[in-house]
Amino acid sequence: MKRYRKFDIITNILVALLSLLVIIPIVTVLLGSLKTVNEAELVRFSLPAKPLWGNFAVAAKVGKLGRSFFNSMLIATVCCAVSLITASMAGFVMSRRKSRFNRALYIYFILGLIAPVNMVTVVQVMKSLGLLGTMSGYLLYYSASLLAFSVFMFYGYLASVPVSLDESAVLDGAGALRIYWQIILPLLKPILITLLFINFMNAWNEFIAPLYLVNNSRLWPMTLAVFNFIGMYRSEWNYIFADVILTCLPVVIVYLIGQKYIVKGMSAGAVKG
Amino acid sequence: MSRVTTLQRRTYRSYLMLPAIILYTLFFIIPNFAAFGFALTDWNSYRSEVNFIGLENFRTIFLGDSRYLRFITNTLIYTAVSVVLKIGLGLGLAVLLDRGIKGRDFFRVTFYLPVILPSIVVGIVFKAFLHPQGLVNQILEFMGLGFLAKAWLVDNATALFSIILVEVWRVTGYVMVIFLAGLQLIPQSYYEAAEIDGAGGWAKFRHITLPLISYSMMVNVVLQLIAGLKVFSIVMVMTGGGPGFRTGVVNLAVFELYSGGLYGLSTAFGVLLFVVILIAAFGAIKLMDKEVEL
Repeated sequence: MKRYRKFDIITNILVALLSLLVIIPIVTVLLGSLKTVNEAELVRFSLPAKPLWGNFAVAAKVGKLGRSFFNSMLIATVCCAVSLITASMAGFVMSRRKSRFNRALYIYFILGLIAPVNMVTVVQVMKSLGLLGTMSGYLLYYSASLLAFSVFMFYGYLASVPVSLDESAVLDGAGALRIYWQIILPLLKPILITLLFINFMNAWNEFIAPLYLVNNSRLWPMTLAVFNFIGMYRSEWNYIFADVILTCLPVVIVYLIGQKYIVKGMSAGAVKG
Repeated sequence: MSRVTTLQRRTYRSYLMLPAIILYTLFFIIPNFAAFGFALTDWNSYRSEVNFIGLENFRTIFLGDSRYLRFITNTLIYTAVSVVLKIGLGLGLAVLLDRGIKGRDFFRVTFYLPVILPSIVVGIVFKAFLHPQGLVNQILEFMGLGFLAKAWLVDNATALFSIILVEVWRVTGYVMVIFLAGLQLIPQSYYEAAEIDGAGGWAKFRHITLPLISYSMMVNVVLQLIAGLKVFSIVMVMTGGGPGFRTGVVNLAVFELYSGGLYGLSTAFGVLLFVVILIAAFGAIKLMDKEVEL
């Protein structure tokens, strides 16, 4: 790369300085979570006198985070599984058989990428199905909300999966479900991994849907738990930051493991061709 | 248009689409359709009957309580300012990272990190930082700019703008990554040819880079317009709409009216947002979707 050689050093310094805007806040939270209540009262960029690792245990116990952590894990896992299976089956048929109905159906799904859903009427639908305030209701709702994006991604990816393999399977007498399961699904592995990471993080991070749909504190995910935690511990920032870190830890780990897939997936729609 | 053969019909059976169609229809399409109906009623938690009242709810929003109009203008200001800042900074960062600097992967991972954090958590943390004795004022003092320090989220003049900057902090990495994908498609030879013709840095950016990333630009603008209009969590946790409704946004009105039992009015606000988002998204696509051949 010698596009702009003479600016290289200046650019490097500039980018490094800008990255401090991201790094300093994150380090401040990490340090703050290890302070005493008094040290953390003024939220400052400074080292704790003595790191108090016990803050995490206190936050977890008082905020009942064990239960919420389990809820979030359950939500993220189940919603990933349901959305990936149903969306890949639907995207498979839609992209392979482009009848007028299926084209319309694709647009029907894509609408969900753009338009927001009305949560007030979602509550009403859940109520009439007897699912309001239940974990299974929330799992169904949130899986559904991941479908538009997932269908869009599978549909796009399937254009590059050769049809010739399907044809030879048909000659061997395979049915639709067997072709999907034995031939298509293994070929979808790259996009499945990408969506697994993205859907997991979206499900974990979701705040609005549980705010409307999950009233029972036993079913709270981490996002709702941390939101209610700040109500209880208004200025005890050491515990709040410890809670914040426990809330972010899974997504940060998932991100660091899968960052190549995530960034690729997030920018997939942005590159034409 | 390709013809659909009987073989295709027999091979790619429609029942495989059924689970997705059912889930999506039940939890996305039906609620949105129902909303258009309920928005025209006085549905609330105080009476069991629901009466049709025509466009009365929309009249209330636009002509009734002046604070409702405030929610709308705040949302529009929030959206306009945040889109401009996110696009400007995201593009700037992408261009800098595209220069083949040292540690490029590290910086890309770092700038993208805020994107993956739950917005509620970002809101909580920056609420602490923007406290009068918090990190932001501490840094200002450190740089000798102590006179600028204030109670950012309580001050009428700075509350909305502070929230916008926090959202910009969170999302710029996402915008950057999409621009980077676009930049990497531009052939090196274009820049070399321009240099032979004596083009400077700005001319190259203006006449090569900008036209050739128009697709990434469209994607970014559309996605951030939608995100801006839908803003909720970060406002909810940072100010709850205050001080004096100065940071109240439409989705906050939806939630507060819903919590207060005014379901019809709340739904009307939601429908309004739905329509505005569709118009904004398709308008932006129509305006910006110009094919540029490499």
